[in-house]
Amino acid sequence: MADPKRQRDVPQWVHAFSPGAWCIALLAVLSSALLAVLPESRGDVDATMWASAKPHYDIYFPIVEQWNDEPDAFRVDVQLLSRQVMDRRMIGGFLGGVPVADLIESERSTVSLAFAGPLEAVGFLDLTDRMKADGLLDRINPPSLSPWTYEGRIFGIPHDVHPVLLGYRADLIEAAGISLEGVETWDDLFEALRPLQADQDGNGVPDRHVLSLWDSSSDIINTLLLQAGGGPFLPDGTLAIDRPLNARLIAEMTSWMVGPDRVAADVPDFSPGGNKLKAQGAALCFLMPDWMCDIWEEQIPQLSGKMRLMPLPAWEPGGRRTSVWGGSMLGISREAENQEELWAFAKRLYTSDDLSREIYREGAIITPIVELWDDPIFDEPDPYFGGQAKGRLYIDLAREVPARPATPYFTHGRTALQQAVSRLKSWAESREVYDAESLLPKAEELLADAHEEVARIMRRNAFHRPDPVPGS
Amino acid sequence: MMPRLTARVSVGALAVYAVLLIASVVVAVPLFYLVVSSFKSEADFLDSVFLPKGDGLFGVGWERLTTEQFRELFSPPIGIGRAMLNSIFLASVTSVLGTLICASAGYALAVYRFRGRAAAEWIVIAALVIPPPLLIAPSYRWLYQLGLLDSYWGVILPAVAPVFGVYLFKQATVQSLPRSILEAARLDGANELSLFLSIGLPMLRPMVGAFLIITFLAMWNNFIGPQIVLQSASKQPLSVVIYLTQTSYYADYGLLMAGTLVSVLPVMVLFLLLQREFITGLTAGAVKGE
Repeated sequence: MADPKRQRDVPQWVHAFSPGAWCIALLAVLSSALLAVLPESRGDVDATMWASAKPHYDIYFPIVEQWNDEPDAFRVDVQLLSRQVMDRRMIGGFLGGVPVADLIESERSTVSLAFAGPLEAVGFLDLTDRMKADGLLDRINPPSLSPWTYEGRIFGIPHDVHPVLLGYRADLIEAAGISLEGVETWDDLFEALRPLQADQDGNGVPDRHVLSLWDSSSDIINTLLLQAGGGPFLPDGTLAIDRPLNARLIAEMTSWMVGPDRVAADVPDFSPGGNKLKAQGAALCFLMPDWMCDIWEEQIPQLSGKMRLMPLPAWEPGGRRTSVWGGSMLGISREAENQEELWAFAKRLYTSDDLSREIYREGAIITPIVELWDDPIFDEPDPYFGGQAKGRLYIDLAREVPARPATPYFTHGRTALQQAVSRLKSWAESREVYDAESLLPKAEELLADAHEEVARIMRRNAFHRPDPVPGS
Repeated sequence: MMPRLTARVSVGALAVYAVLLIASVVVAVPLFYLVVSSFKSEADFLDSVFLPKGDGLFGVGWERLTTEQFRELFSPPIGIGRAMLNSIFLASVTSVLGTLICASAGYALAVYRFRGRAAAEWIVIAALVIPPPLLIAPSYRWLYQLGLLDSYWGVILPAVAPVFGVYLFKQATVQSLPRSILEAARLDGANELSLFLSIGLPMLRPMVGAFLIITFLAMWNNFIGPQIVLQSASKQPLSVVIYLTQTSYYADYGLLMAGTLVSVLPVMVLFLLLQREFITGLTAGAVKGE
């Protein structure tokens, strides 16, 4: 029993708090003390670098830590940020004067936000002259520079090329005695694999479809459009959603997704459900940029040895056999101090042969530095793809990836196109119109609306008006 | 004995127990899923809903369960140990300071008559309707001007005087602290600080417990604030570090589940310690007027 006299000695306010409350107070004291004595993990650094792709960060972190330990090193603290946070911090830093990292590595959707105004307002340092002077310009795969080139000036070193191949379920296709060797166009592919769409279990629904494509997958739609030279913008950044080529392409794509003989199926990327469908063989063929190989190997290990890669079937005979999906760059903040040291660090990070090997080994990503493509690592067989030298397959098509403009409105354009496809698909299903030719007039109408929608947004920006302002 | 005991269990009680049992299962299944998934490999995560199938006891592949995710979580570059310390620091300091400040502010508004009191009350009530996301941008600018970006205090200070807390304590004081007790203590010579510490706070004990856990949880789960204010990786709390183990294109579900489990456990322990105050605090005043 508690001693009543001792209880009386305890101040009354002590009883205002339960044992749990005292635990929280104790935690506050202990954690404060611990944080006071624990050193900052990185110590003093000369510069900070933001990265938004975790696989990149995981590769850079140990290497940069090693570099930081070198004598007289220019020490860089690499920080991982989510894309949304990087978007806001970067734009906040460039436009509002709040702190921003010295080096920023990010994807196209984030970087392009910096290209919304005149050239002198871009928050990244113009690297064109440095790249020319150091001979870097001639060493980089030319199409890989396009997303970072605004008004003729280059604002970042490209991280990658991201060519796209067709990944297919060799186990299922070969078991059916089908060879894809003679396949040159998408029509050839659908023709060759149509027998595999048979309803084996008799439930009235095909057990599998040829291609993973759906109206919700804006990335795949955009990649297919770029392959054929289409897309929301012309290479010079002009808005061109309503061009006839796009209408023809989306009418064709939509015909793949509708009707009793549809060849496309909804097998989402980057989700457990989608991965399960892939493992089950719900679709036979997939658009696979180089980085996607690593994701498949990590997330669907049960397909090891069952997949193969081949060039994308072309839209027309003799057409382009690849496309591009994704992309990152490394830029330097215009307000950063130590710009020469930062440039030296950026060059070292992105052009070192050791790092390019590591990025390929860990992330299956092909470097845009052309001279490094001769490295034997790219010829190593990959057991996941039945021993194919996947690196070489991607490199063989790397020079043919389509160029993409640097525009802050590319996300708007991409979304508007995807929504047009979605509306066209709904229209086709409601009216049971399934062939591309009959879908064409509606596709043109929907693209005209989509074009106007994006143009309206662009008109708010004096530097990106898609058409001359009347009276100006 | 048994027949008498059985007779006392009515059909109604059985129905209540059945409903409670179902509710318990509904609550427990996701938790079980979380625990099991954090010990499964990537392949098993997709192949089996709960435990991986195999030839072991109960048809489970026990040998395929792995602690690899936890090893990865606690090793560089993730290093979740530091993130956990950051979360404990941010949540405990904010909840202690927040509770003391809100309790004293609410007590003052309820007990004292002073010039501007009505205006202060109106400001508190008006501030309740401002959506917190609207305050992110101006707060960020203020923190920048005060030099508090990338500091723990930049996260803690904006959270230590929530208007919701001030209002809650004001109402609790009005309902559970008779003014006659305060008057009697004053006659006995107690000063105002003693009144608050010796009478006010002990009478508000259930609300103190409830508010402590509410603010602790709010800061523990705070995701946007630390991401915007804290820039150094070493200062990020658990919520951010766990999120950053995933990317737009890649999700290691085992790692995500292990991280979630690690972040949930301390809060569960805390809730068990404070559950009585939490429930009493939330239901205080519910039977007033009876």
